[in-house]
Amino acid sequence: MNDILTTATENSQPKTYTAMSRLTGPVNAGAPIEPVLDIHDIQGNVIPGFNKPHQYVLCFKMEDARLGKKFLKEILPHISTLEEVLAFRRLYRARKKRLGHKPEEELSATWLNIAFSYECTTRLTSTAATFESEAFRINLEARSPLLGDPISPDNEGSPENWIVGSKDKVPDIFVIIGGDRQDQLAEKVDFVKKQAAKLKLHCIYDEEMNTIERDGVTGLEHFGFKDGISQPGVRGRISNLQGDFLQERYVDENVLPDSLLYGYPGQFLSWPGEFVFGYPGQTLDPLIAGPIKTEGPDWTKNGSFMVFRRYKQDVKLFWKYMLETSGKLAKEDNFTNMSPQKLAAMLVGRWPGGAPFAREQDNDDKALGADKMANNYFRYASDSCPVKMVNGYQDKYPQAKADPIGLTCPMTAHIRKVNTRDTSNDAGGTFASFQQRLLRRGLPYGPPLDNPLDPNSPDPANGNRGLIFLSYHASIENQFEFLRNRWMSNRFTPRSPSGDDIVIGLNGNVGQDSVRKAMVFDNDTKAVGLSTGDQWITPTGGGYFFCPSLSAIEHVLAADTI
Amino acid sequence: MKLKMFDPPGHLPDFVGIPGQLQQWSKAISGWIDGAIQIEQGRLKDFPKAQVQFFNATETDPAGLSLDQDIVWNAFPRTLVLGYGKAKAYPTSEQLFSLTAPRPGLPTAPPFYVDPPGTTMWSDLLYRPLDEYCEFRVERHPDTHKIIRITFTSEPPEYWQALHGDELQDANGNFAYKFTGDKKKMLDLYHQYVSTKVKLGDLECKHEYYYMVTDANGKPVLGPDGKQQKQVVFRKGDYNPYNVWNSTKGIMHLSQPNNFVQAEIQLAADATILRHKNGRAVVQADALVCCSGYGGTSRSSDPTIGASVNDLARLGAWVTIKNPIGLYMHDLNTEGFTKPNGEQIDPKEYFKVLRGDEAGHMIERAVFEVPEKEGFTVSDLKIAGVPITWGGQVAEHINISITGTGVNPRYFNNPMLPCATFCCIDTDVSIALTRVINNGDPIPEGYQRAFLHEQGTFASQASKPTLLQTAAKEVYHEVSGIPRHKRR
Repeated sequence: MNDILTTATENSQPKTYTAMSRLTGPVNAGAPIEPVLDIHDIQGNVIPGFNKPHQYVLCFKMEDARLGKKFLKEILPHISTLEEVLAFRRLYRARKKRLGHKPEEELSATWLNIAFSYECTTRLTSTAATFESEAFRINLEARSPLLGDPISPDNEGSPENWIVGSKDKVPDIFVIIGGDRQDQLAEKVDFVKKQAAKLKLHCIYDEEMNTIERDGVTGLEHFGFKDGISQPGVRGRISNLQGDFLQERYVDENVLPDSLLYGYPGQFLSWPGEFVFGYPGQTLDPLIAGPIKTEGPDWTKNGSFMVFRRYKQDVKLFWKYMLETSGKLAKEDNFTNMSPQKLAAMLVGRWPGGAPFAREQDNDDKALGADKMANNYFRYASDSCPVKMVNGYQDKYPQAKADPIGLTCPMTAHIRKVNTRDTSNDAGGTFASFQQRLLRRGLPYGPPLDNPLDPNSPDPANGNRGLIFLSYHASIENQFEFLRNRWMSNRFTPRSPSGDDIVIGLNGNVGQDSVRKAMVFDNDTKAVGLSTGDQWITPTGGGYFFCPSLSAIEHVLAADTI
Repeated sequence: MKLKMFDPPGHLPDFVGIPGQLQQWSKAISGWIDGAIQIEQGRLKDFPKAQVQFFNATETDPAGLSLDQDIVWNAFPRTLVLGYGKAKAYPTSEQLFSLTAPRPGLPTAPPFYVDPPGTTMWSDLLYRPLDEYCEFRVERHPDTHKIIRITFTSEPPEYWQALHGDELQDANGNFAYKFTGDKKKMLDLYHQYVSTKVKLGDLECKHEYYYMVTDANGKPVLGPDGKQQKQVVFRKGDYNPYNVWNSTKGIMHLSQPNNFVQAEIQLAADATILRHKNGRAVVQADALVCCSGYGGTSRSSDPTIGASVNDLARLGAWVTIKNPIGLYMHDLNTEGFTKPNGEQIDPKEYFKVLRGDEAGHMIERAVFEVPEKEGFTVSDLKIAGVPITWGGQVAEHINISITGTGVNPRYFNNPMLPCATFCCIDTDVSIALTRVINNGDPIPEGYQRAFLHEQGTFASQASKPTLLQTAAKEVYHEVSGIPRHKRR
């Protein structure tokens, strides 16, 4: 085994962060050579992601393509690149390490990215006609039935009633701005709005998003769960230096195969072509690079498809179900310490604080939930065990046991429905699973609800809260739509015995009244059926967009060719 | 309690009333399982205490907790999608291919059969390139070319050979299981489901079908008489699964040469063998296929069937396939299917189950068509806003399934065997072209070895089951003894 390894001397030292550090992982001679990414050309919210606590979405209708091009020329210097966002992140972490706390007072940034609808790209360049993605071409409203969205016009979730993304409210241009400070964010939003208005870009929708923090847990969504923990690690290097990876690697190089497969422990590395055009995608072997992924026009290189969905969340209704059903289960079935939080954790696959149910079945271990070195490290087909890390980290939390049938973490749990990890699925093996991953960049909108378990809790926002879901990928059909249609809304896949994704799935099948069904096992291995027709999430808008490279914006979309 | 007998696939009723037929079917299934167990026993021969975890439910009744696992996969061939991309996979999926032609999506794989010198017996037979245990036929209007109906089947060919009264082969290719059969009943079913023009003679072999046996390098394998061995596949007068009414003119049952019940049984049995690489359990589905050599790497079915069974085996459970053993369409999910007026379709009206057990998710034959009252065609429907122009667009919303049963976890602590095979990936067409190669065989030109390190395994501190280690330079070999046409 060791004959395939070359121990690089620099790896024997614990990993450290400095602002200029370019060594972000062990260099293993058995590892594949990863491509150097065009860091100055890829927009920064695609990778590595803004990851800002305050963000703002702006959607515009473009009245005049010539003026639209002018707007693009003006906005171009404000578009944040992968290079800039990553450089700030490295600096931030280096300062945090030296200070011993977050350098909020001394460091802040405001980032901006932009994306375009198919209709808009065709008005900016004739070459857009060669886009192959049918989903992108016909846009979200036409694809909505596939996603299980309500279609009855009297349902708020029907495209007819969407706030944005249907009929005459389909945006041409989507702008996202993220910042560390709300005042700086507001300033940038104001700037963009003014520039846009000047050039007859009509703002048809805008919304502020803010991270939620409660009881010391950051990054919550409105149901109260820590979000965004399990993101795929993207392979690729920032420079020609050997260990200069985009995604840091934390597993000691002598731990095989983990060190070749993971960024953070449990975070599988995907080839960048699964998310950004112009790079290799996956093959059967996760260490062998696939063909370069391309899409339609030449200028899609370094670009990515983006899905925007606005989901309203009914927090009271969600917790009402958990309260009532957990009480029933506690009486009628054999569950240890059943509670609303435990039931919700079983259906999400994580406790509100982020601890994976596969590793912790008794309580919401917030330390585990917050610990990036451990909170994503578990498997379903095999036992997990502590691995040696480059930074000397010791994982002392309970480890996950093999659970292929879902006796511990139910197969119906949201995180098992969208990521089968080391188990097989209806599309095949792990290769198939890798091809469905997406980079999620969403954030909540609306104020959080206090005391969600209290049905009489006052709600000044009158239920106006939810998630702005954003995802980036190389295929809308095979990634975002696949997950929603083939896995979340299908009660038999990716594995059975399962159920719908009862938490976030939608059931648009005729005659089923949006009822989602799920199945969990009690301590006696008795299958216990659960179901609800409650509309916990309601789609209220969205759209399909393309997020191009900066060079494509400059030389194609903003070019004076019309 | 032991199972009394194995029932026909999906509880199909046609064997009822044919003297001895139900017992003969059960005996054949039982024999195929026993044959598979025997092969696995051969693999474990170096471990006197090891016992095959795959069991015959009519002969063994393991006590303890019993868990069923529906193993589900997609009906549309992933092989074609990876090989051609979806746009080309759809039309390719509706073509028929000669049994001697290069395999669609797998151009470097050997053809299923080679004609014996001086004959074109296999070249003349056609099959559908649909390798996920579900096949379909699209009927279009002759003038408008709009789709009128799509007929789906998951019925195994063995069922129809049995109904014809043939003698079916065991795992080693010997004719071993004789059926009474009822040719008239079989013909009636063809008349009912395919065409009233079908004649019995159309369905039978006009001559013997055979191939000359060669080794892995293509060299003739000689028999005791010094002549090259001949393996008979169908005898003269036998039922011909590739008959015109199940290929060019219609569809009655599965025709892709890998789509048969024996293959499903052998795959499940093979997958109960635990594998290791450098002492670590091979867990990941794709790596397991490459390591065990039990199926197609590009399929949706084989990796998930194998890995799901292996998951149960690694828990130390007895494992079998739940009765009735067959291949089934589980369901069609019509979310996103809309009529010209934008309304969603009701699958109960559009997807008519003709054979099998719909409530039990054991669908054997179904038709997708627009109810007459609607006045439009399948091509007027849309899926997610895109008109249906190919049968594959519907097929990719169908789940196929079998059910695995695991009994009494932690009963076994069997040894892990080293990998018997390995995979290579075409360096130019790396997404699609992989080949499973026997240990010791050379890597084909233009290919690189996959899973060279230990990706697909996971380190475990939990227990260290016995390993069968190979000496450093010794190459581990397994010989299954299964004739070529019975292999996946």
